[in-house]
Amino acid sequence: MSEVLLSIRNLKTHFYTEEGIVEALDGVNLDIMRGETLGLVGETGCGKSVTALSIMRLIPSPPGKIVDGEILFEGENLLEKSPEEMRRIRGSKISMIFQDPTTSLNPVYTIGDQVGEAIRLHHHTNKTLTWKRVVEALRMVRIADAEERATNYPHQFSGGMRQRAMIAMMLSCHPALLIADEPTTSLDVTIQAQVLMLMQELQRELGMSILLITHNLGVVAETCDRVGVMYSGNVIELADVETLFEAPLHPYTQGLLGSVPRPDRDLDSLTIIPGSVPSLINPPPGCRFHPRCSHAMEICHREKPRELMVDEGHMVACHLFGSN
Amino acid sequence: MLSEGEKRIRFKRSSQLRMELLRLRRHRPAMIGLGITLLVLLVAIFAPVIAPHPYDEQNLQRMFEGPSRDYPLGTDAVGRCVFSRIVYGSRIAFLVGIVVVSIEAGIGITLGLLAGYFGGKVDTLISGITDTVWAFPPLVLALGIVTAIGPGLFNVVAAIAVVSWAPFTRITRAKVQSVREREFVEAGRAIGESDASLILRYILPNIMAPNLVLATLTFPSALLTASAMSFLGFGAQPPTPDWGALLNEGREYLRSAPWISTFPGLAILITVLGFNFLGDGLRDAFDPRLKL
Repeated sequence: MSEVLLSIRNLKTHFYTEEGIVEALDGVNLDIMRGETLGLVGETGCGKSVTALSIMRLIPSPPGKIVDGEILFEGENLLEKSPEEMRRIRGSKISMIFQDPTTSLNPVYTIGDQVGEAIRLHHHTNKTLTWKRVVEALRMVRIADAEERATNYPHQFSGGMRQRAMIAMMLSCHPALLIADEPTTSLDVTIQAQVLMLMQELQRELGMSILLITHNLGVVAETCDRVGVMYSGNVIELADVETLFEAPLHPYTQGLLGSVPRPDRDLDSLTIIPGSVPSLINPPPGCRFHPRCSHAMEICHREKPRELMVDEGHMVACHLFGSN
Repeated sequence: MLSEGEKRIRFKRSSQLRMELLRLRRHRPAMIGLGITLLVLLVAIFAPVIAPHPYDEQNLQRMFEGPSRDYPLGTDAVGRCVFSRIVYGSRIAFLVGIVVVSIEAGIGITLGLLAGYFGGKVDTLISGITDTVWAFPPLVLALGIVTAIGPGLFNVVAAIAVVSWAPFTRITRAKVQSVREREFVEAGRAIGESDASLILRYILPNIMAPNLVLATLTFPSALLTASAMSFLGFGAQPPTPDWGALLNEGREYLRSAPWISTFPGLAILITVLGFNFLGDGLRDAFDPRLKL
C-alpha cells in the first residue's frame, strides 16, 4: 500500500492512581498511511482517547505516563522529542479536534483570533497576513460571510459552526495528520453528516491522514478506509472497512457488529456481549476478553494472544486463529 | 479590509461589556456606589481647585472655629481648614487603595495561577503559605511589620499589601482549577501553545471577573486598615492630611470642636460604603451565580 505516516509500536500508557496502576494501553500497534482515514472503535474506556492523547504527548502527567513503546511520525520517534520540539509539531503537523465544540473554544476571544492563533504560532505571520489566512481557513470550512463571522465570539456560533471553526483552527497550518476524537458525538444527526462530509472533502483537498476515534459504527462505515477495533487497551482486530464489516474474525468484533441494528439484515434479536469492560487496574490475565468470550479456551486464561496477519492487511489477536 | 475587521472586533468586545454594564445599571445600590466613588475620584483629581485653602496653611488667629463661609467645615487646633484637608486627603485615600490593591492582586493572582495551573507540589507549597498568611489578623500583622520597619505611609501600604493578598490567591487558584480542565485549554495545547501562553492568554482572561469584584471589595478594607494605622500614628506623618490621621488630630477636642474628627470620619464612612456598594453590584453584574 502507500507510505506509512505514523507508526505506533507496542505503546504502553499507564496511569498511577491511588487504587493502583491503570494499564490504559497495553501494547498498542497501529499504522496510519498517508492520506487514509483510519477508524478506531471500541467501548468507552477501551483506550481510544488515551491512544490519541499519547500521540499528541498530551497525557496528563502525573498521573499518566507512557511507559514503553515508540510512536514514529515521518520516521522520527515522537516519544524522544523535547517538550519544545513537541510544541512545534502540535498544530502544524499533527492536529486534534475534540468532542465538544461548546467548550473547546475560548469564550473570551473572537473566532478569528483563535483560528489565527495556530497560524501566528507556527508561521510567525504579521496581523494582515494572519487575518487573510483566517478568513481563508473559515471559507475552507464553508462558513458563510467568513470575513464578518471571524469577528464573532464563540457564543454567537451554533454547535455545528463551532465544530467547523475548530476544524478551521486545526487545519489552518495544513497538518499531515488530524486526530478527531469523537468529533460528531455532541452534534445532531444532520450536522454530523455535514461535518463528516466536510472532513472528507478537506482530506482530499489537503491530502492529510485522519485518525477518527468514535464508537459510532455507522460513522466508521461511511468515512473510514481501514478500521482498528480496540478492547481494554489493545488493538484486537484491524482490517479494511469492507473486510471488517463483512467478515469479522475476533469474537469481540463479531459481537460489536452484531449489536448494531441493521435494516438490511433480517434479524430477530441483536447480539449481546455478556459482562462489561474489565477493570484496567487488575485486568484479566491472558486474553483480556476471555471472561466475556463464548469461544474462550484454556490457553486464553494464560497467554496473551499474538497479533496475527490472517490475510493481506487483516490483523487479529485471538487464540482461535493462532494454532492453525 | 483589515482595519474594518479590527474595528468590528473592538465593537463586539465593547458590546459584550456593554451588556454587563447594562446589568450593573439596573442595580440601584451599585449605581449609588458608583456615584460616590466617581465623586470622591473627582474631588481627588481637582483637589487644588475645590479646596479653598492649602492643606497645611495655618491661621493661628482662627483656631477651633466652627463651620463658616471661610472655612466650610471649620478649623483645627492650629487654624487649618478641615474641609481643605479632607479634600486633599482623598488623594491619599485613593493612592493607598490603588497601590495596596495592585500589589495584593499582583502577588495573589500570580501565586494563584501557578498553584492552580501546575498543581502538585507547587500547589501544596503556595496553598500552605496562603493559609498561613490568612490565619493572621491583618491589622495586627501589619502593625507588627510597621513597628519593625518604622512608620510612614509607604511602609503602611507595603505592610497591608504583604499581609492580605491571600484572598486573591484562593479565588484565582479555585477558578484556574476549573478553567484548566476546559477543552479550549486542551485545544490550545493541541495547537502547540507553551505553558506561559496557556496561563496568560487562555486562563488569565477567564479568571478576571471574580478578581475584579474582589479588588473593588478589597479597596475599602485597605483604606480602613490604612486609616486605622494612621489613626494609631503609624501611617502618614503630620502635616500629611491622611483621613485616619485627621481623625486622630481631633480626638482630644471631640467635646469642644467635634467637627475636626467628625468630618474626616464621615469621609471614610462614605467612601468605604460607596466602594462596597459598587463591589456588590459588580459581583451581581459579572456573574449572578458567583458567591464570594
